[in-house]
Amino acid sequence: MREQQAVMRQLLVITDGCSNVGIDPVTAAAEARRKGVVVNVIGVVDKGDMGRHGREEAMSIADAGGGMCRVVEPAQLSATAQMMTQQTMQLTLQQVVNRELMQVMGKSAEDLPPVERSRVMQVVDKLEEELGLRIVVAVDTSASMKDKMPTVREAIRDLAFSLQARQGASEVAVIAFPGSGDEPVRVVQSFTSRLDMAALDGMWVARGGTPTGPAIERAMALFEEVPFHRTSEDDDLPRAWSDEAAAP
Amino acid sequence: MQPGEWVTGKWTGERFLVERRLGRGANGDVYLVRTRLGPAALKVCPNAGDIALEWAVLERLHRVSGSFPKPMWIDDHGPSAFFYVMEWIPGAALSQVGATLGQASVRAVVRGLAEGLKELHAAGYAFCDLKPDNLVVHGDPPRVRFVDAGGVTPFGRSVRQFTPHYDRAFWGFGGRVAEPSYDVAAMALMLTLRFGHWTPPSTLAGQPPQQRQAWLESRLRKWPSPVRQVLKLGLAGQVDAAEFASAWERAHGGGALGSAAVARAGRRGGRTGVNAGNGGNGGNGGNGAYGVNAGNASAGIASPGAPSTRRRPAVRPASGSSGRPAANPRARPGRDWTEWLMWASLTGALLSTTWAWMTFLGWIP
Ligand SMILES: Nc1ncnc2c1ncn2[C@@H]1O[C@H](COP(=O)(O)OP(=O)(O)OP(=O)(O)O)[C@@H](O)[C@H]1O
Ligand SMILES: [Mg+2]
Repeated sequence: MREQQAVMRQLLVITDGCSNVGIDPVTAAAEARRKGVVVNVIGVVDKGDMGRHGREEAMSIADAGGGMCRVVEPAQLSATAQMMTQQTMQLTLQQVVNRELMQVMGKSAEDLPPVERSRVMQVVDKLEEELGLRIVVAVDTSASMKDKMPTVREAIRDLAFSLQARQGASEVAVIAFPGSGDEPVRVVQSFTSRLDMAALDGMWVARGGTPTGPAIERAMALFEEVPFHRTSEDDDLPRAWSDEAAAP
Repeated sequence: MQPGEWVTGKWTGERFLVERRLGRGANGDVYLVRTRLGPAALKVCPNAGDIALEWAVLERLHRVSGSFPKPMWIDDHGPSAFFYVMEWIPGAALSQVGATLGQASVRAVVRGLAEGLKELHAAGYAFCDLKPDNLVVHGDPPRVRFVDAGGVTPFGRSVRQFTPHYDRAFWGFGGRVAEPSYDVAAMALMLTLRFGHWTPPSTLAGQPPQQRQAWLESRLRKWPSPVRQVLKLGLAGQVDAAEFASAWERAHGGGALGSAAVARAGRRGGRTGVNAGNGGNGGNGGNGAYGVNAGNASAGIASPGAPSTRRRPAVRPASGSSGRPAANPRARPGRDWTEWLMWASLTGALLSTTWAWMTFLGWIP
């Protein structure tokens, strides 16, 4: 099934507080979801807390973006990022397969006898491995993130490393908010299948507010600007099967 | 589920009496239950998908390897608890007893582990989430069995479930593709960390793999040089499981001859094998705590293992499934192949639509 150039698109926001610059991130996340991008949020806290506002905003962004939200300590960041990425893929596939089963047989996977369910799950499992995946990691680089930066960097490296092992094509991009100077958002690394760690070293903490909304918008633009890399054997496939997911 | 509770399977009608909890993982709870065939272990979890996948893996593997628990029934408990019942493996998790094992016991564990992995690898699968929590030992000399098939992955796919400290990629020793060397590295890491007795500091999370290696090196240095060499071979993936086990044996003066030599040394009160501290424990070193030069023999219980990073996670819970009987009668074992083929083609047909759906609906309902 080489025509499987369907690509799943995800945005992962890593932050430790509330946005305070630019468009409302919840609005931006809802727009992302409308365009077929799932938005997940991880709040990183060091001992203390994100504050009620930060936490609520993180939840609302994930809700609007059709994704999930977790608040974790830095040491859990890497595991959480990978778990969310995977879980999002599986849930989405599961929904699609369930919908198909519902249409064809009038039942969902849970309604099937367990033995048959286990066959369906094996197929879902295989699809998940082969599915194309593009993910933008948006990192809050406001001053409060300073001490957590090394851990964030390692978590991104680790996520990219795991994705590299997949059979399906995977690409990661990294953006930082705020950027440097008057840039609200900076593209640290555009979509790549092999993350350049040196590029992440340029992910320093910057002065400025926390433009979470603009970062989500920038991520969406990035999805559109950079076409999904296709391996040579796929080059003659119709474009409709690439990541040009038409909006509903 | 509570001890004393009766669980009745929705599909099989089998009844199980819950006796006590055997363990709890990131994924689900495992209970000791009484069945009409005797005691068994029941693994329950809120995600139908996880249970269904693990069941499939166990079904396939128990035929090729005696190391895995034998699967018995898969069923549902109400609309949102999914479970399967398998052979109960009595004994204690290696995470619990690993640090107290004597040298001879550790050798038996290494040998047993290598045998289990050999069978698994010959069938084309890697265990992946190999860690002391997922190994149960029993008897003397201890026999080691695998529990938790949740990480088992066909060669060539990405590792779906791992625990950072036993993940070679965390330490910068290779990738996360399921292959034999991934498991051998985990085996070497388990031994290096004395089955979880040595816990890496959480500050390693903010360090690149090269720096993490420095910490690991500090642990490796506590092992005598021949053992250290073997561990390094395993970490680097330069040996297979069986080679690793025999190298381990040799590094401890292995083989029958070796243990005789060790026994003689013990009688003379000399050093026995790896353990500088247990010379007086006599015999072939079997009673000495599984200590290395740091020899903290009194340490009984290892710290609880870190949870797995679950990359194979939840499926949405059932949305009000009914008790309606199956449209298709239950499969007879002999029909497996054809049925699978049918399913494959059916799903194949579904999928072409699926991809269109995914693409054009932009993934969102
Ligand atoms: N068949 C069995 N016989 C005896 N004990 C078992 C059996 N299966 C599991 N256990 C015990 O239950 C614990 C949890 O089981 P298991 O590892 O399958 O759960 P999990 O949710 O997949 O955990 P993990 O966090 O490792 O992914 C095990 O560590 C083991 O101690
Ligand atoms: Mg386990």
